[in-house]
Amino acid sequence: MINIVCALKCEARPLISHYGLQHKPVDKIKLYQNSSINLVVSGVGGKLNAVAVKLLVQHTEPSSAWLNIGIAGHGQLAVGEGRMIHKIMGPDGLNWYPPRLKLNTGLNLKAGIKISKNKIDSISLITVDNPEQRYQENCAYDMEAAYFYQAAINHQTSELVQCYKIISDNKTSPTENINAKKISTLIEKKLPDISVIIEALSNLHKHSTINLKAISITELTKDYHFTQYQRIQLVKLLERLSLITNQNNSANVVPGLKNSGQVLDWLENRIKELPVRLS
Amino acid sequence: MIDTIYIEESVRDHSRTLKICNRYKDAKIIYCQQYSEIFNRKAQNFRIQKQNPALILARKFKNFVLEAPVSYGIGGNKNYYFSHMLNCLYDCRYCFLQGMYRSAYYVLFVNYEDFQDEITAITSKSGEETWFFTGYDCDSLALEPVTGFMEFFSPFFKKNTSAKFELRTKSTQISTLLSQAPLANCIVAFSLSPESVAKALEHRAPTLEKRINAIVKLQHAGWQIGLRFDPVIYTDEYKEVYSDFFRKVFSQIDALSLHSVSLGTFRLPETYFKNIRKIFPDELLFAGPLEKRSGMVSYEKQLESQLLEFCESGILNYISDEIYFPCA
Ligand code: SF4
Repeated sequence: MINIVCALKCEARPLISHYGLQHKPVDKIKLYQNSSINLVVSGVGGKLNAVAVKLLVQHTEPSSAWLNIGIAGHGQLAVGEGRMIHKIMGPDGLNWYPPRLKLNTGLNLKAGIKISKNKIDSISLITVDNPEQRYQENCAYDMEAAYFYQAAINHQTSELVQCYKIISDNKTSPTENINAKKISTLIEKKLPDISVIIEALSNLHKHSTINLKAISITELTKDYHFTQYQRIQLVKLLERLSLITNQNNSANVVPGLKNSGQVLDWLENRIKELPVRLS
Repeated sequence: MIDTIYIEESVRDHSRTLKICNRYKDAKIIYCQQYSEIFNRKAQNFRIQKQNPALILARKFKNFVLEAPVSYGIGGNKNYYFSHMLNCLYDCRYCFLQGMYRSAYYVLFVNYEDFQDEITAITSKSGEETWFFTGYDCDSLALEPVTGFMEFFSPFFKKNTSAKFELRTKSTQISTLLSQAPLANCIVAFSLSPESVAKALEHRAPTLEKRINAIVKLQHAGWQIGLRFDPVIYTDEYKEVYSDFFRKVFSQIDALSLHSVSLGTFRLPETYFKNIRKIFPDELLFAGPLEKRSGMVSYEKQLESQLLEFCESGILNYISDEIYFPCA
């Protein structure tokens, strides 16, 4: 699952339409989703963005990847350029370094959209609390990323928390030139890049989530009384047994054991009898 | 291939920084104040980062040289280690670095001269043979083409004859060594494992065959070689596996000219073990017959003794016990 956070509805609109996201009526947040994407519109400003992350956590899988998509100003780059963010300087003086996502721009997606042929570059960004008119060279400005990032890495490893910004204003084209329609168009034009980023994040997410075979202890706990401590031991032993035998063993405990202690002993002995191998 | 280089502002113009950046012209350069801003942060996944590690160029400010753990000694009374680099090109599943560090990025401390000053200070104070080990927090040679570590340290080692140095490696990056006369006070110590163990656990490291070839070349060139059978790994077939392995190793290398051989079984500090198992819950090595003993996780006592005794007697078929050092 990918969680996308946008500050403005006009930033979200092209994504909602392209990915066929449906509005889901939930308390306090504007949530849109399909089977693999959650998108939330937070409102302008870092604090709202951080709150949106916190609220979205309650409606998403705990291991979801996070992506902040939005507009930014820049000292040098042309309006319409899109960039990943590799360094975020927050208003609190703290710096954050989202690990760079390996993007395969040659990916052949079936998403029905032209794939970005260009390398998607990355840049530094300063998050400010008030709109910034003095553009520092080689740096982007926004009002959300630092807040988004700090909130999201409380729930996910930093490799799976990324920001993508599209330049909406610069020295020659100031913020006064921007309106909702223009913002939607800027985002829409970058849908090929966004697809590549979402695909890369999904792949990384898939490969990073290592779930051992789900262990069910329900059967055993029906027949025997396990203390909390014993339950932990039980899960550990069953996980180990499953890994060694490469099958789910939860139902294989022999009948006729008198109590939970005997079940744990039996499992331990069973593991000891199994061959010790490395692959 | 390194595609991202983080550089501390303080070493931005350092000659080694410039040389490395020149080597990786296409890499993205990102400046930072301190490497710890990146390396020590929470919310990092070693397993993901290991797929494509970035390089961090930094300056070390203190603790250039530290006292070595007791198990590191190979006969000397005074043992120190120093790490010009943190993390490793290879990906051995038993490696303690995975449990010690949050990040898999390579950190290279480019101020080599400061390490040398501290080594000189320690050596001049010490009245006896003093050993300095490298390759504790990294492989000493694996990234030699990038770090130029031995290229820079060789003349220093050569000059400081009262100190002894050990390079610990699994690498075949030996051209810097072969391009010069062997150093009398420098041991190149290779960690070796049976093929089946290397294949299952020493990901990205050179094969046993390649490591043996590198040893043979270095021996022919006159370098002193150490063998490190550490960690030996328990499987049901360990007797067959390790007998074949020792036969193979000692049939190709010159056992008589070896400097030292050490032996140790798989062991990890408990906290590192917990961290590693969290990121590799699917690793069979960690589902094996292990137990906790005095803050360490290692093989069950009886198995460990059997394994050590067997390997020890296997090794001592080929070498004299004067050059044999079991790890504590
Ligand atoms: S070669 Fe040594 S330092 Fe490198 S991963 Fe393997 S055990 Fe760790």
